[in-house]
Amino acid sequence: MTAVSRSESPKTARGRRSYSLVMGAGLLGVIVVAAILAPWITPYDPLAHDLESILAPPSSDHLLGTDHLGRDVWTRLLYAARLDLLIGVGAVITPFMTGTLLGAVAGYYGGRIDLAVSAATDMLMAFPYYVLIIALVFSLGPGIPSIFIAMAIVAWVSYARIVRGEVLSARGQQYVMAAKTLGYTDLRIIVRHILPNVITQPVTYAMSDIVVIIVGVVTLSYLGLGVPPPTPDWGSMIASGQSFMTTQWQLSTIPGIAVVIVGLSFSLIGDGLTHRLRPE
Amino acid sequence: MTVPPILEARGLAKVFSSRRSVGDVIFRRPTEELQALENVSFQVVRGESLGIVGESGCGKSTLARCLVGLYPPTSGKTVYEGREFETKRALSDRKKIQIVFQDPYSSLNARMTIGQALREVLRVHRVVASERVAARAVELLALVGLDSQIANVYPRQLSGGQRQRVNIARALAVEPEVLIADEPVSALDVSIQAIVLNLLASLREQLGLTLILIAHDLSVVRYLCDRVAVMYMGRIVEIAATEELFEDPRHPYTQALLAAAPSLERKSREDARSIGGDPPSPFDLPEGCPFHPRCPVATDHCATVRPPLESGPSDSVRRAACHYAWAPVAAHHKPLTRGEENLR
Amino acid sequence: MTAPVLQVRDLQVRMSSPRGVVHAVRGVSFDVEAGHTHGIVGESGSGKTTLLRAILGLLPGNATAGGTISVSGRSIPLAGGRSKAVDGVSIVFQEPMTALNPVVRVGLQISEAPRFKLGLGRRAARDRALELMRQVGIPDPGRRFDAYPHELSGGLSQRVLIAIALSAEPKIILCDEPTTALDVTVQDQILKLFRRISEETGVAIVYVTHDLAVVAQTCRTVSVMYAGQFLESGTMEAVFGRPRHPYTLGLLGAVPDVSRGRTPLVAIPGSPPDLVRTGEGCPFLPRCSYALDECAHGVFSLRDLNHHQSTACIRSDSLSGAAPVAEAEAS
Repeated sequence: MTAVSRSESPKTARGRRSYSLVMGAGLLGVIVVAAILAPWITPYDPLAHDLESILAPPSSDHLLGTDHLGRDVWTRLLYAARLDLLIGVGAVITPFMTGTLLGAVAGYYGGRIDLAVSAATDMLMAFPYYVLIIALVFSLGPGIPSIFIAMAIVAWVSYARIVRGEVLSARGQQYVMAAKTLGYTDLRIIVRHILPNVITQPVTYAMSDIVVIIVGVVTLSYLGLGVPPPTPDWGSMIASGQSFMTTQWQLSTIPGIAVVIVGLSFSLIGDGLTHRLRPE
Repeated sequence: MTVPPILEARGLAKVFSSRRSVGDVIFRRPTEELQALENVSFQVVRGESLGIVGESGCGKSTLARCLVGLYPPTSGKTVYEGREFETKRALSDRKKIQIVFQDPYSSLNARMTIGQALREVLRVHRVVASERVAARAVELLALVGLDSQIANVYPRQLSGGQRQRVNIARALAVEPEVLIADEPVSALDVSIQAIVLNLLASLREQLGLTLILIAHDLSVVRYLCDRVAVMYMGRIVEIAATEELFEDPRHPYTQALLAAAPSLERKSREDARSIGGDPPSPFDLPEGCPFHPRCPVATDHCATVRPPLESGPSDSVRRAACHYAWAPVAAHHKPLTRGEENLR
Repeated sequence: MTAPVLQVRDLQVRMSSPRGVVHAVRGVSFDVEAGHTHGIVGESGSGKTTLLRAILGLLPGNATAGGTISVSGRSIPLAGGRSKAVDGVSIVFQEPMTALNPVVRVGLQISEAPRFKLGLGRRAARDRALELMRQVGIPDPGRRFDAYPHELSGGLSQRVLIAIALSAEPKIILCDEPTTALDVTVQDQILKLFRRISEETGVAIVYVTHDLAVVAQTCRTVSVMYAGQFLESGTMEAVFGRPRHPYTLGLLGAVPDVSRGRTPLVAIPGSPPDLVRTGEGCPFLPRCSYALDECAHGVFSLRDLNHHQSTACIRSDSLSGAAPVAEAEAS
């Protein structure tokens, strides 16, 4: 009776999921590499005005043409990717960590701590998400640090709610009971036993949250509250290209497409991760 | 009792209150309370095996969790070798009493290999020197009849019976004196239940373990236990040596439970002692004896006065919580009349 | 002897799955007469649930089936993926709480079939439902008619499910572990109820469970199912009294019983079978202590030993006369 029955993983379903993970990661990888290698890929300075060739159509010199100040659009697109991706990922890290921590503690201990965390999340959830972010950024003054702070204040709520619920149900599971009777410390139980079993949900959510934040930053910049000009950013690029929509449609459309592609790649990764991380 | 008990429950009681939300606090909604255990007392002698039986919601699992220190009791004490355990137990005290849970599928952490889980316990409790940890884990697997290669696999790769043996090995890793098994075989396939039951029996003999077996299945208890306590609605209603209890049950509920248990050997099903009705809601226990609404011999006395768990006149070991367990019904107590529900 | 209400002949069910083709039912044949209760004992993965779904006419869409099933002499369609159960067959599930619609009053759930299937008027359907509730022993049916499922205990919910099963006037009731989730004292009441119903209404009952003792108390005939096929079949007294298959013998020696004291239990080594498994030979071979070389080849189907009993074991002679427990001990 020592035979180990290795359950073969269902190949087709799992294979398709891995495919979406590979696709997403590949797509994102290309974008990230292009963003990092920007100075070597293009010879132009993203901020350099060239009033000789404003609003030039795509050509061999300027792959995607130039904007109303003669700046190379391809160059600005690549440099904007650096910034927007950094903000997207960076702005998720703090809320992810604080939210997961607070949710885990609230769910595990219950009582007053839970009451306090739940009250805070309920209150923050009562405000419309974007309005709250915009209001916070507006009061802190436009700029990247404001975006980080606003996200840190608001975005942890979703993680806390997700993790609290998961921990609450894990707490009643017998593997947690068993860990308690074996005399493990609460810290060990939360970190070694509960979190590895519940982390899938917040991680998957983080993937879609990054997209939300990038779109949020783009929106803020579009409204003039985000990344201050002339720093290249997809949002401000869309905003400034808008006046030339009829003649130079690519100025607004191409950064928009970039946002869509990044969003798609994170969604694919999230989808793939859900199935990869789930214990059978 | 001449031998001092290794473990004693002294008037254990547990009341659960519903979890309160922000709204409940603001609107001062009353907390719902459930009396899961009420004044449960018993003693277990070293090396003995005590069975605790009862139907769902009778409090037997709550009792197990109070004994291992998972739930702090609302009142009462767990006394180990004459010493009261604190509510927040020291690590060295936790080791003394271990538990194996019912569900072999959820009682192991899916993210850890069997070896990791066993080595973790050994390290946390410093049971053996750090260089001996891996070897000891393999020894523990051998103790429960599992191959050393099991150490490298994840729980999902094992069958229910194998997982349950891993659970037993993990509980034994800290070298406990008392092992509580909470429905250890009810989630297993019939053809492999015997493996786990026989393992528990042989470990008891081999290691001198004291065993407390929680089960809804009377046959399992009869197979493994020296003494049996029957619980109903959070209380012990009868406690006696196994054979005495099965041959001559004194409490009407024990009688009903035995009459209702299906058996391969007894053919006649129209047993006069079987009872109707459902167990009452634990949120709303009846006055007097909690069993009186379903009891075939209840009188008006039972509906008002709760019978204590008492021993008989000539017998100091077995106890039953029934006014009429040891004495005939007194003439001035009238049988209860009841509705259709209980006659079915 | 009356003609059997249920006749199953050489039933085969295969289902495609990511792991390969699951051959869940492998040549099962049996009959049940009106007013009789037939037990099917099997462990998890024995194919007993798929067998019930096939009789109910509700195989999943990925299933293909062969053989025939006839109910009251009419053969029923076996194609997978149908959404309508066969007329004359109802089922009682294991979990009474999840088998009832939580937002519909139980009385309406019981009167649904009389109204829409049997075409009774609203008033007549209500009367029929109240009658059924009385028949299954629900106290105070008038009040309980308007109750929602969550207001009922497990035992009462199971009675409601039985009333629903009876409401379409079935010829056959299939029971899928109907008392496993219930307490012992309530289980006892439900088992008695099944007996009374089959006596009163002449309905045939197919009772599927893993619990040998429950089968022993409830059924007149029994089949032991393993790896999608019947290994032994016959009357209760014959199969449990003089088992003629090592698996039955092993099962009887592996479970504790309230009436027995500390008779040692002997576990059956190995694990229950995998229904993806293909190949010939006796399915129980890997776990059998009586196996011979011949057991690895050929097809093992039931053959009659006498009027009361049939077995799939070629060594049944060497098992005969052995008291189940003593023999299992020796192995």
